[in-house]
Amino acid sequence: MPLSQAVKDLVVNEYIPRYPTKRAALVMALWAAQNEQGWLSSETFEEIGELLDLDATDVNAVASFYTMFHRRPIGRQLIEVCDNPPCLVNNAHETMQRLCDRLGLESAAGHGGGTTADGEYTVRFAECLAACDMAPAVQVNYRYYGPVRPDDVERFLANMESFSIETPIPPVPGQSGPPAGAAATPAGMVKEG
Amino acid sequence: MAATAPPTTVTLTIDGQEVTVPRGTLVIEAARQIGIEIPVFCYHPKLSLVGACRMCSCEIQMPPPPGQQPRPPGILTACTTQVAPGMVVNTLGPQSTKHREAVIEFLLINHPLDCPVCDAGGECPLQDNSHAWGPKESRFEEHKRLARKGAPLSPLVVLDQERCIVCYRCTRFMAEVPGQAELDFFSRGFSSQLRTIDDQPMKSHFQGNIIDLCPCGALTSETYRFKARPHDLDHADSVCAQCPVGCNMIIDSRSNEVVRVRPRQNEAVNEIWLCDKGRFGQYYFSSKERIAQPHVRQDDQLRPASWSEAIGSAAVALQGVKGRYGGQAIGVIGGRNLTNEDCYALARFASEVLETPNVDHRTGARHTAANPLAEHGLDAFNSPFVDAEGAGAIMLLGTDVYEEMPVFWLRIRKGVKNGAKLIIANPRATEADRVAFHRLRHRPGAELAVLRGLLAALVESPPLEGPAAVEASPPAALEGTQPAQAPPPPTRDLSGLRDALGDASVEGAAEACGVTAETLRAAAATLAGARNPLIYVGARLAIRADAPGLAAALVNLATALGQRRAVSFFPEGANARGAALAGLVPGEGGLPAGEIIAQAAAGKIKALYLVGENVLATHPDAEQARQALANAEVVVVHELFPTETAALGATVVFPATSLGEKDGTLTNAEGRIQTVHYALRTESSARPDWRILSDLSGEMGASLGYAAAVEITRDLLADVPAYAPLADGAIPAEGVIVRQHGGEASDGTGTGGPNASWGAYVPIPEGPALAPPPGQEGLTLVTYGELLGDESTLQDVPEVLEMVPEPYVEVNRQDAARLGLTEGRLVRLRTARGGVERRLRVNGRCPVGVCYTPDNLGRPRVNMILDWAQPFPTVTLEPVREGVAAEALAEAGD
Repeated sequence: MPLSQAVKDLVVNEYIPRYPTKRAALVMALWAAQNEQGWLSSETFEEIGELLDLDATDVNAVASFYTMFHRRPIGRQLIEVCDNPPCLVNNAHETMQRLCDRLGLESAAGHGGGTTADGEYTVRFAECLAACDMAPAVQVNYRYYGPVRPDDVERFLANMESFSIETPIPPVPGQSGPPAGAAATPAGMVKEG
Repeated sequence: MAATAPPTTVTLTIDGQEVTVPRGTLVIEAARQIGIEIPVFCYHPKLSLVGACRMCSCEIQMPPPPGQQPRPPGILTACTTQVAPGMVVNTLGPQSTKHREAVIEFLLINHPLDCPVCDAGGECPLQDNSHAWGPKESRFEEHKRLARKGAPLSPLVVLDQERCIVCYRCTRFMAEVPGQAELDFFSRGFSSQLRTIDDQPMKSHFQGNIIDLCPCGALTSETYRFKARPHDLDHADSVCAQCPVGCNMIIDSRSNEVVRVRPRQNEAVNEIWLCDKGRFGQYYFSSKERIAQPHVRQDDQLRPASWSEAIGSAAVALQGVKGRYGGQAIGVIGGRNLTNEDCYALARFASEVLETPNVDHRTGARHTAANPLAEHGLDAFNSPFVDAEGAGAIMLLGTDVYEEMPVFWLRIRKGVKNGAKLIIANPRATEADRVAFHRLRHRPGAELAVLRGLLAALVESPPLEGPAAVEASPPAALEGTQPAQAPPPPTRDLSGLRDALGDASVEGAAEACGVTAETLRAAAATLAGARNPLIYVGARLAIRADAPGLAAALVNLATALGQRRAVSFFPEGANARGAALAGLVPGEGGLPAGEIIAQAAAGKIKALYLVGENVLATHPDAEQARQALANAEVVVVHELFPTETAALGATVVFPATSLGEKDGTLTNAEGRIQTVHYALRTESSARPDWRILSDLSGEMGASLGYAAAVEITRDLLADVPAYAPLADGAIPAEGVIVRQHGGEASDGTGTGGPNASWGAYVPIPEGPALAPPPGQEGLTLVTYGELLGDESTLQDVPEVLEMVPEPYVEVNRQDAARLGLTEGRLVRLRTARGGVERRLRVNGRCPVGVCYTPDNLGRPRVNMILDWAQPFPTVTLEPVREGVAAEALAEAGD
């Protein structure tokens, strides 16, 4: 799916003029593209490369540096379980295991997750969410929930809002609307291979 | 004024020695100048700076501001720090050595230290630097990272991810030098991985260079892996003869077999690069497919024979033809890929022994002038390669330089990076188009109209008289006591050009060539506004029937731009320039190579002498070549491999030695003569071409009398006027440029120079119409050679053969849609002569109505269906059902 003109305009008119070099706008451009598409495809890398005079490989490689850029399709709900020490000692690995069991995903400690066949959920570990008081903390589409103890998993999946911690959505500079994944079904969603 | 200008040099102290270097020099280069080597991994003088490895860290101290206490030295990377006045650098200070020790310890944490099974062992910077700077023992007790080992990045390059120290040399090379960013590092930190685009094999022609650049054995060569240790190798300095660039190389052999080829630094030619054909295409020296002994034809079969029998029978046969029909009934073709010594011996053999003027090295040539620029007082190539770096505009006419002279393309790219505007005139898009400023997509065969259009546009708005014009004006004008300081005319006077052009207009030319008048005007303006414009013309245009017209138009263009030496033709073979200088060109009343074949087919030429020339595959009409071989009474062939020409037509076949077994010289495109040293002993009975000719001439009663290549070199240098400056001295290691026209035999600036016809515009002879008029049924076929074609030199190396594309035909998307054909279909390319099968590539490279196929790929070659009378035939494409290939091949022959 090609990038919309709105995203291209945003990159060209808003992001590029902010910096001395076009390359400096790369991460912003990737973020805007991911917000629209849900994930970043080879086609998107090429389009962004054209906008910023970069090689598609270079764009791809930069995206690969950041775990918050998805180079494969992800589920409509991106569930991330914190596995840094406070959450870890509060059984975050067990929470992950239960989540995976419940969603039919394979999970090995430290390498949790994957995407469900129906494209609804992607589950993975996250680095510290700075919500240690709510350990084990869980993030769904960049909203915070917690604590989600292993025994809470069933209830959590049934009713996430009851676990919600009010935190602001990370701002997306120059763009209104919800961040990655939070949008309704991204078109062209395919099963993760 | 001078007092306020900042000084251009900087004086600093490195390890107690004072050194003065230009401002902006890097500390590492300043140290190198006084013989201090600072260890590096990521730094490379040919690449951009990243400062990734921290190995070159030194203690660097700046003088304190007045009145302040000196601050302690800092640890800075010498590869990214520029020199400053009063700077004190301590490369061996305790802090810097401690720092380096730590860097090595960190690098070796995840490096597998599998040196005993690593190809780089013994020539590995990581190994050397670890010994020199590393800690004696590692404190690392945990498990090392595991990653991909022996993973192919392409059929030629193998990656060992565990060994990689992430110095970014390979990725920087690919992105910066050829501009093909096929590699990059993905992920981060300790999981950084070198990957290709979508994990597809690399396609570049320059990937072998990353093996040289890799400082740690992470990238190794598929063809050299596990073959040898560097200390077991024999080395020979040689020059590549796969294309006319003449890259300097070192042939490494073991037990008389080529195991690998490395570039040899020559900043004027190849810098430190080689293309993949040069690097991986030299294994044919030790090929098992080579012809091992002479053959003679008996009862229509070639049978092995002794040298004396073969020489005797060739001598009798040639004497017979010469006696019956005279020398002019003999045609001699060959030499474009031979050494100068072989060429000179062949030229002498043709003129003194065979006494024929029908001599040519340019296969398929249609006119006699080997250098179409000669009549205008110019060499075929008029500027050193390095000039491309400083050009303000570069025009490429009728060449896919990436395929034709790949390493020279790197030089042109450097020029483009330095600001040159690239103008490409070609019937189809090439690799170079990616960085082109103007793309003139003209009708096939309409180059002359393109040039007329550019000239007419210049007449409309002449270039300003600028510094370029002043530089290029003849010395006579400058020798006046004091040139008048009259303001120069605002624009150059092109009235002479207007007269030479006649009534040609930009619109008329645009109509004729299919490029819009607007584009022609824009390109002409770019050329006119550029400092040092250069024009490079593909070899195929130099042998075409309209070459004299093209040459006249090009000379006019160059003259109008104020730089008569701007125009250069690429040669049509690796040593074509040398062959022409040695005299392998049509003599008085002689025929060009293409006509020799045509006349032999017509029965007028009775004997053919073919030296390393497989005319059935290279003459642009295979049927005509077949007839020529059938009708000629005598066909003598010198060959490395059993070619179809030898099999079908040869009366006598002499096995020749390859370049790797020869001493001698080669002359590259720019006219640089360079020395070749033999790397291998000849194991079969094959002999050098010059020796075969010398023996044969003796048998024919007029011996050339050569017993060693060096004797011929001596004669050649003394006899050919262009080489006269070298006649009494040795050829320097970096070679030397020789000129036939325009004087100095040295690396001139390539600008200007006195010339008898300076500033004169010449009439442009009308060429024959080459392409069918537009609007015909079918597609106009364009052919050209590709780098990895002529597979005979690659046949022993399956890895390289994998890189050779499947023979293909390329059409525009619109044409494909109209014909109902899709990418990857097998199609039959058909003319009145028959059809050849090709894999279809559908893209936007060819314009609508044009299709392209390489003419040196696939069997049968496309020349099977070409007609000598039609250089740009109209072809049709029809789908072939897969699985019936054999049937179709049989049909192609009818």
